[in-house]
Amino acid sequence: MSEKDLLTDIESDEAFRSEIRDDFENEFNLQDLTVSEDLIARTMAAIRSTEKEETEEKTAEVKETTSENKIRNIRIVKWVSGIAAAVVIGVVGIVLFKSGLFSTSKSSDSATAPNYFSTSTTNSMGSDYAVKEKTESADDRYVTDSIDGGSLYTPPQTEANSSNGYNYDNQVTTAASESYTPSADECKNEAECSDSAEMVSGDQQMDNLFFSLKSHLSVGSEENITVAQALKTEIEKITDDLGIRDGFEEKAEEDTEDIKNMIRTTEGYEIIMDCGSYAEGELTALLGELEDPAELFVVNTLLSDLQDSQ
Amino acid sequence: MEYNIETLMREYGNDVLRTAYSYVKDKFTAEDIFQEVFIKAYKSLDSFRNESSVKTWLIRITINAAKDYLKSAYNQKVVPMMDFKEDMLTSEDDFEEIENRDRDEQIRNTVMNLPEQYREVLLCVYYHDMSVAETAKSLNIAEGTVKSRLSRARDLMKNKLEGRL
Repeated sequence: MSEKDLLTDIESDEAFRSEIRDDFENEFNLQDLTVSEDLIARTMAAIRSTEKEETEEKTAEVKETTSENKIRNIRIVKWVSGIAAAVVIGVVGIVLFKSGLFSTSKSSDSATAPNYFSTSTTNSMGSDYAVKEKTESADDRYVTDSIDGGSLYTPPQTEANSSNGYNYDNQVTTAASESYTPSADECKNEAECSDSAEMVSGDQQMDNLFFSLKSHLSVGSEENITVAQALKTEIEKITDDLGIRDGFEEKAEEDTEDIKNMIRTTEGYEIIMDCGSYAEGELTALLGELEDPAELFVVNTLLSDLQDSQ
Repeated sequence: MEYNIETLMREYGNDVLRTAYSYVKDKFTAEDIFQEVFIKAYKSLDSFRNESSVKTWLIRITINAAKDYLKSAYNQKVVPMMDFKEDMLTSEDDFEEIENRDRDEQIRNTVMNLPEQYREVLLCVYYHDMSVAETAKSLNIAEGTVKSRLSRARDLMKNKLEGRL
């Protein structure tokens, strides 16, 4: 018999169905299993009680949630205020650090003063102008010591400085606080070296002149321009301005003094002469590098005049 | 369609109470289950989606509640009333009375003495007039299982009721 036939058989067996139903009914009636009004009333009371309990639970939950939210909000506020305080402290610290409040240097300005000689470490001629802190090498003419030297250089931010395309900020390094102190060889006498007030003034003047020299360069905006390159360019400019390049040797034979006088009238001459011994070493080095006789003549004239002035 | 819980109690209360009794076989326990069923129904009325009839839904809740009761550890510790009575027997007359009553009940309650798995399908299909599909849903079993249990229950019943049919 298939499942369908079986079901049909069961469902159609009315006598069996009736018997089963009667059995259940008899049992239920015997047990008096009828819903009474009392049972309904009790059930309704139970429902209301449950409803009330649920309402109270929900109220308690809401209160608890509100309380938890308050605690959480307080925690968040504390966290945020803590973070904000930390940020403020950090910012203030950075500002103070940048302003040099925490600097170990004796000079309060030394931390911010840019050093214009620090980035060009080696020029094409091998001269080292890099500032080396407390270096004892005899070749380093510009060894500095911020504590001992005490002199500081603040670059003059003139229109010329900003318009000539040079980015002086790029030349500021960690050694910016270092200032120029003449080496022992440069000190003509002990008094000169020990007189710090005079040295400060002299160094500042020297630095200003050198800065002025650099500011007159016309080689563009290269960042790591060297003193030698600056001088070389200036000499080329002087030569070009005077127009003595073509047939110079012939002219020099006849009008040597005239050419020298012409050189002395140029702006570049005046600047280089102002640099004094600062430019002397580089000019000497340039003699081995330059090939143009007119340029060589300009350099020789400058050197000669520099030595005479000293 | 919105339902009033009191109306549901009056309309389907007997079905719920009797279904509960068919499992627990105790009126007072059945009434407790009745209350539990309507409390659950009241809480779940909003989620009732009319996918089945209200009666089928209530019967299903009742069956689950009754089975939970039977499975509960509490119920395992309860001493059946009949066992208690037998312990209290003191005379031969009392013993005979109980025996006679049991014999009558045996004859009358052939269905109630069937194993639960057969009794419940008979209750749903023949007493509550539920379809095989509705029974399967209420008992959480496959329709094929309902059919096979019906067939087996019928065979058992026919054997027991042979003398009465």
